[in-house]
Amino acid sequence: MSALRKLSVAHLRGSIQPFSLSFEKDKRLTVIYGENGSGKSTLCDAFDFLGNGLVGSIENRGLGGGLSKYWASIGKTLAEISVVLETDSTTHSARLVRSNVVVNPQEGRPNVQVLRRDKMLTLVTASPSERYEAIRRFIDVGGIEAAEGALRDAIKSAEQGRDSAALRLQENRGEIYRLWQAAGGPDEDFLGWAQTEANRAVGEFAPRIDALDALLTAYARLTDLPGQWTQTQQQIRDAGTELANAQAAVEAAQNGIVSDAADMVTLLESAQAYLQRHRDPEVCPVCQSGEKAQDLSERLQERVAGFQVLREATQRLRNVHTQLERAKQSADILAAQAHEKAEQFGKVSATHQWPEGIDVPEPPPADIDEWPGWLAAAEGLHMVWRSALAQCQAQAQNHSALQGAVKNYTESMQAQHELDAVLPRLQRTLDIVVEERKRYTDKVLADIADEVGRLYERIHPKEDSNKITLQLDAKRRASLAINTTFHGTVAPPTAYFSDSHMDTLGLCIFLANAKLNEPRDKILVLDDVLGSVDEPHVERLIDLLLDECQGFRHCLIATHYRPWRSKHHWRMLRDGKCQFVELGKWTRDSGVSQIGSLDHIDQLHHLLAQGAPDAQLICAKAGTVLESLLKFVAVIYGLRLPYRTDAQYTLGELLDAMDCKLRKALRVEIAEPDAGGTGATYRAVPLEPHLDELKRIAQLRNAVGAHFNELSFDLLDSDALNFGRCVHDLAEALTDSQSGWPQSKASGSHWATKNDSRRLHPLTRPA
Amino acid sequence: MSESTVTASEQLAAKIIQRLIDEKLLSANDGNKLIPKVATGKVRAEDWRLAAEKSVPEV
Repeated sequence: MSALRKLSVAHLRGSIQPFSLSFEKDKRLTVIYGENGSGKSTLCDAFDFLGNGLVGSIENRGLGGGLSKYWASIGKTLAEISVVLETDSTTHSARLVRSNVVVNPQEGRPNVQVLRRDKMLTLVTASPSERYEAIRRFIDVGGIEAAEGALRDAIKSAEQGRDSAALRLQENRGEIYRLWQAAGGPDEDFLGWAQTEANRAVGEFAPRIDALDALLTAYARLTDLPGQWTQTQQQIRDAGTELANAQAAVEAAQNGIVSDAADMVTLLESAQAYLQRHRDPEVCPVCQSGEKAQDLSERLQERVAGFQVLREATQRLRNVHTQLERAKQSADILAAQAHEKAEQFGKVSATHQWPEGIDVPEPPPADIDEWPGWLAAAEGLHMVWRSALAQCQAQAQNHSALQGAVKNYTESMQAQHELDAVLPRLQRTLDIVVEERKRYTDKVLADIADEVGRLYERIHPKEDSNKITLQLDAKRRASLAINTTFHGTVAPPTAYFSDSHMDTLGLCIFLANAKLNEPRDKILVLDDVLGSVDEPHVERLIDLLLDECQGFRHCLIATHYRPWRSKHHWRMLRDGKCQFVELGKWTRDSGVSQIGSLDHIDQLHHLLAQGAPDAQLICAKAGTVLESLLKFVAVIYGLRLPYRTDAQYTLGELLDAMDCKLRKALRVEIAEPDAGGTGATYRAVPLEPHLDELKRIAQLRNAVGAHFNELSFDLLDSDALNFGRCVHDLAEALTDSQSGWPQSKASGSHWATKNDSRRLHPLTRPA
Repeated sequence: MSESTVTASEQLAAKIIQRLIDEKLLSANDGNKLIPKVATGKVRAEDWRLAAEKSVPEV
């Protein structure tokens, strides 16, 4: 990620006038120092505005909703707000367009995370769900949990399937046993018997059933025939008798009329029919005589009526004759049917091979009158055939049921075996999914907790309260509990921690969370987070921030903590990676402003460089600087000094504490970078000449720089300037404006600054 | 921002599936197909069942 170059803010909150903050190259940490109301939070808001579209410093102040109306500087409109961040690779600008913060370009918008003092405690006292929300994206494995649910469903379904298969297997087994019993228990191993029986073809029963069925059908067709035959014969006999009677009646009627009465009737009926068509003829249509032609029709009708009895008798004779003929035809048909059915029976009888116990008689005799006897003889056999058919059908049904039961049994057995193989694998799969999910989230939480604990331990070493644990609530989704071990007691931090401790814990949680993912992309903004931390812990907190901020793209710390400024002025914060920016007093006209923030050594340099140097100011500043230099030497070499509760010593005491051996041995190696900037050579500077000279003129400090003293009237300004230069030279030899004091003895041979730009020899005071 | 686009579920899904493959509870082919479904929670009970059935060694 590219380094920050410049932040320009206009008309946002305190930036009444456009303000620019330039970032020093290769320094990832910027400390913004300023008194309250100097505009520090405005700069933090500018980052918040750009990265998150927010101005967080005015949230939670009881202003209600619609806070954006307060975003603009007094007298400015929201549309005039502008924040621009220039980096090595690009420039992002942010403006407010219709209540939306629009960043251009949107791609690569800076990732800014802001922690403000009022939010520090919230991180600790937040509800478990809010705390979970803060780290959700690192531990939210909702997809896996859903997949786990589907896996549990699969297992449940497989278990139900297996239980069902086992139940079916039991039922199939019972059915087979029942069929085995029904079959008379033919074998000891009923399942083996069932398998053998089931393998027999079901078609084995069909021919027997068909044969018996055909036999019974053929027999049944015979049984009705004798009755029908007898009835037909009776009809023939009855018709014969009736015919004889009808003939006798005709003969009697004829005898009563004329011999040719029958012909006459026919003739007369024909004449009558003629006369109906030709009424009242003038002549007889037969003889053509006109005589007696009158009333011929009436007379003819009278004569025809006289033949009525004969006609009826004749008609009856015809009818009876017809009946007789029909009865004879029926008898012929029955005889033919009987012959056919008898043949059919014979065919059925001959076609099939009858099992033992099934007797089949010869076909019925040709004379139908003998059939009743034949049927009576076969009646017992018929019952046997019917029983045999029923038995055979039952056997076929049982066989079919057995085959079905064996098939079901086999399928159930196979299903059970398959599920027996699959179920443990599904269960093992679930175990792995659950185990990996828990391990994953536990590890993420443990990593965060460990990091929080590590950071907290740096600020509160050996306070026996560094064991931080984060735990997901198994009963509640998206809920994260935090606990600490406080002198052996595990409890939420809110139970025992002071507000100051919870604040630092909150900061540690914030830093640990910020470090979770791509910290190199993040700009951290810590707004006044040192405010509530008590004095002993601030030093360690500053050290912690100096170290941890190097892992991020950039870190901006806004503070009004005065010791930080003092440390800066004494080059004690210098590690070559921290930029210190001091803001001036905010005014209605100028808004936010940056003031010079020279350290004391640079200030001495400036005083010496002035055209008309002020001897008194130079001696005063040089005296203070010399005190700091000599105290530093006294501390690292453990020089002997009289004990005083206020630890205040004169320059003379401090200079005298350095014995001759130490003075001779004191030497600083100053790194001078190569032309290529890849390495450095060291120039040795012995300190003894500086110290000897300073010992000689040290009283100038008191005479000129510290007190009103008439003796100073006789002293030359050149002596005062010499004192100042001498102190400045010693300070520049001993300290580095970028990396500060040589406080590290990690080399084992000398004291060194963090970037090794100064090497102070010896490591220890010569014996 | 150039934050990682791999979600926690995706990371974990890949880890889980690899372990299932290692333990021969899934074939590599089925496992790789399942990863996105597992990560997004779209895997169904039938998918798990089928994959488990296919992984049973043939006797």
